[in-house]
Amino acid sequence: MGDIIGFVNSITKEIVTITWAIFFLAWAIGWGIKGSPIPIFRVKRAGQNILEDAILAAFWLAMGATVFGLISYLVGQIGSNSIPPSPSG
Amino acid sequence: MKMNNADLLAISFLISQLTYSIGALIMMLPIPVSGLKKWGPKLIIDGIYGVILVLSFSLIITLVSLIGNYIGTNWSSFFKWQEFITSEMISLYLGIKTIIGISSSVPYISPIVSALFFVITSSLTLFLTFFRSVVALSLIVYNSYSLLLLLGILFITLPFRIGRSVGAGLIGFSIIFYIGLPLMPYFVQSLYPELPSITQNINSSNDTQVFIFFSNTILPSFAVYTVFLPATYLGILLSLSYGVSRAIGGGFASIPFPVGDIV
Repeated sequence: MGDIIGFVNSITKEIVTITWAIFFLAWAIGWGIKGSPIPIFRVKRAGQNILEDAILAAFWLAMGATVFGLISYLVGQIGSNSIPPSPSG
Repeated sequence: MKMNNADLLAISFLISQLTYSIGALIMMLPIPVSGLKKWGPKLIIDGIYGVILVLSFSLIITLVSLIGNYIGTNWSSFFKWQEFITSEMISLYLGIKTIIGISSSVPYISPIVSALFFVITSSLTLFLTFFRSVVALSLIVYNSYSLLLLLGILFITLPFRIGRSVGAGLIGFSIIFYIGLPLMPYFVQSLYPELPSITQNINSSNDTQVFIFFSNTILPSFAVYTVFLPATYLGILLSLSYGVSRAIGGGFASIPFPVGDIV
């Protein structure tokens, strides 16, 4: 049982770490494309989209980590051990 | 490795979080492939939906028991009813065997009587097997209802909706059958009030009359009472379960609320 929980926890932790790394990558790529001296609107728009998606996804990731962590904390405080501590929270 | 309800809930919660994180990851990818990126908001919604289901587990259990109490679900009376029907069938079977045994002392009649009553005993065995299968199903539902519910929630939380239909099906099945299965006696008895009396004719001296009575009255009654009406009732419960599972899990490719509106 603990193995499964540990396994899922570690995968989630790795995915959250990768996601934050990708955020910085997307941030750099997005600004790189948007700020590039290429006078093609569609290319600049693609950079803008990457930036928007990255910011939105980062917001949802942060919100999710907060809410999931809060739920884990509250369940722990209420007294049930059913939900272990959140890996990203 | 023994898992209890709390462990399954914990795993479902963590898998929901995993689904949510994968959704955020896909949404963040700097790859302009819309088919791939559409999965991001979907998975985020699925993660939230999974957590809502995990946190609603106690609420669902309470609601099911409240609804059951309200409409008169009573498992003990159901088990008493099935015991009564089973004992009736077994006593009928033994009665026929007794007739065959008595007639075996008559030299020329014995093979004919045995052949005639073989049809009835075979049919009774078939009915009894079906009826006991229904009872076995009811025991599974009665003993493992919360486990089935938890497995359904666990399947629904799996990423990329791979277990959504089976999870919703398990949830619908466990809820509907736990509430509805004990009401089977009311359904059967309202459509077919009572079984004909067996003992009044079983002592008849004429084997042919007994056979006619069995084949015309007793056997059809038992067929209706223990096979056709329970099977009809199970069909009704299954269709209700399908409706509930559609409501919980949506169709095979959609969920009950719009997905793309999150962003």
